[in-house]
Amino acid sequence: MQSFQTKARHGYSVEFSPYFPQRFACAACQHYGIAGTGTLYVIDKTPNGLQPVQMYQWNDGLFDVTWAENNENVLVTATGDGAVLVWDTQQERGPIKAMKEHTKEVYSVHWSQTRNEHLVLSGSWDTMIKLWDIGHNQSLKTFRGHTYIVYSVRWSPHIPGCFASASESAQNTIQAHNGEILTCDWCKYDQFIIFTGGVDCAIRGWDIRKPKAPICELPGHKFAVRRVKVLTWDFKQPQPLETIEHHTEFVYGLDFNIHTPGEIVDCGWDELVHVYTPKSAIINCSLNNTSIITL
Amino acid sequence: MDRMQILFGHLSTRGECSVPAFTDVAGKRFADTPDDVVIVSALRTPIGKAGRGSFKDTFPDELLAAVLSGILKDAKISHQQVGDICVGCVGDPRVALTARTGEFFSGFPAEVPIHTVNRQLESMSKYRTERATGDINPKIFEHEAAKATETGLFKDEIVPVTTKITDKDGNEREITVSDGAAAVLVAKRSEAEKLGLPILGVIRSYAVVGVPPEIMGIGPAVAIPEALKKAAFASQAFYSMQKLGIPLEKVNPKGGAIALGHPLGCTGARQISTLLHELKRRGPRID
Repeated sequence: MQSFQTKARHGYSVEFSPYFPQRFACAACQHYGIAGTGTLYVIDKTPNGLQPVQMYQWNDGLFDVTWAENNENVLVTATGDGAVLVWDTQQERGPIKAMKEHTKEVYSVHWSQTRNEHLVLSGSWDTMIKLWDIGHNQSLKTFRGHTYIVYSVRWSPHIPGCFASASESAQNTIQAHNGEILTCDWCKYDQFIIFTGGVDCAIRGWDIRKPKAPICELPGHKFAVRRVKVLTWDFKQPQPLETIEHHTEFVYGLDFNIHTPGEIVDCGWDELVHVYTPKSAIINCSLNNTSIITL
Repeated sequence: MDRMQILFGHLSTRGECSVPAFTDVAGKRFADTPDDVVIVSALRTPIGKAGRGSFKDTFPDELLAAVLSGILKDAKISHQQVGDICVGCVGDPRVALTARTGEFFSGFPAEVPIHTVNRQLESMSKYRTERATGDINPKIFEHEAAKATETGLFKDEIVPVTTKITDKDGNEREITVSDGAAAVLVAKRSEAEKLGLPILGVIRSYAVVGVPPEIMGIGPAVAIPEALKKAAFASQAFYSMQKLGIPLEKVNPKGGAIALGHPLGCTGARQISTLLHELKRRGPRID
């Protein structure tokens, strides 16, 4: 396991580059994201440990980060001041673009995962979801379906133009959890399956064709589930096979390396980023530790 | 603050396999180091109404001497082992002299230095406007304090003071500015361990924040988040802040400054005495 300290910054989100197997980005905030500034790290895994390639500062917390799928140097971040920021790792200073339409914290950004479209979604505490083309200055569309904070937006990896979003007790039309839903992600191997994690500490799997009841439930977390990402799945096994507790504070960010099977990066409020390869495949991420549920 | 409330909300429920809020993992957040500043004793005198209570005929240096002697006796250390003394006293115009004489009264040799600090809670002129809302709470807290006194919950933290009283209390009931003293003995962890002293608490962080005089009393709401930022300890911060917003039974379970009174300059040390002894009685982790 390799580790990197995000000094005085509390990690909120990590994502591996879709272009470089050794590279990932980490969005972090001062003071746990409650107040203060934010930092975006672009970090390379090297034989000498994790080395920052770029470090960018912003006046407000950075809550989420997503890599562009059409340009290896471009990143988009979600920002506490309501801006969606576009960064170029070739540029030393500042974002190359700030798109300010949300009126409250932007908590989630995601670059489209299917070919032929290069659009970004942003989910905000102002209850709105916006669709962006980073070549334009205004958003292309605003989705107003939610009546509460939107915590997470995720494009379907299968169905072009389809995305899921998570908010209070409703996810599209799925009544998934008691209390707020903090995260969701699509199954990469079945276009109809989606997973959610919520304040009620549960992770549930759903078939979007039959949204009345979950197809599975995964207990095991002691705190709210902040981020879930799906690689493979066996919902017959509801117990976590492995629990990783290498963070001493809430774990907020988690990603798989698509180039290096099984490699995971995570970040947390203990100011640490870890890159490691557990034995297993399905990962979910809780506020107080990372648990692994596998075949 | 909006963000803080939202984030608290996420922590309001726990999973079925939940363990006590602070697991060993969280407990290891602060590595204990020999240089930590630890509290090895914290005691106070009884508290009387200012000017007309039990201590109306007692000089402040006598109260100071009582607590200074008390902590030395409690920690079983000698006067010579004390490196420096810091005394807070707001009301006394000759505080430096009072402190030094109090020090001598409790038997310290001249070689042990002493200094005073004075940070004002400038509030009296504006207090009356708050009386309407303030009227209910003191009764609750007074009740708690009376109950705590009856059941002996204060016995560990109080140093008895022998004094004489020449007249009865006045009847007028206003904000309780009070007479009393409290003292906290601190040491480096390495020294405390060397001497085998009990470690009642560890000073992990502190902050000082000024607030406008007219809103006196809200200082902790500003200073505690500041101190916790410095402490860089999220779980603890959330825990404390959740506590700040909520259950009444957890806030000042033995009565706070409204009921016990508020000896100017002494309240910080008085709160530490009450807090640490109550935590010790309840037995949760102190970190």
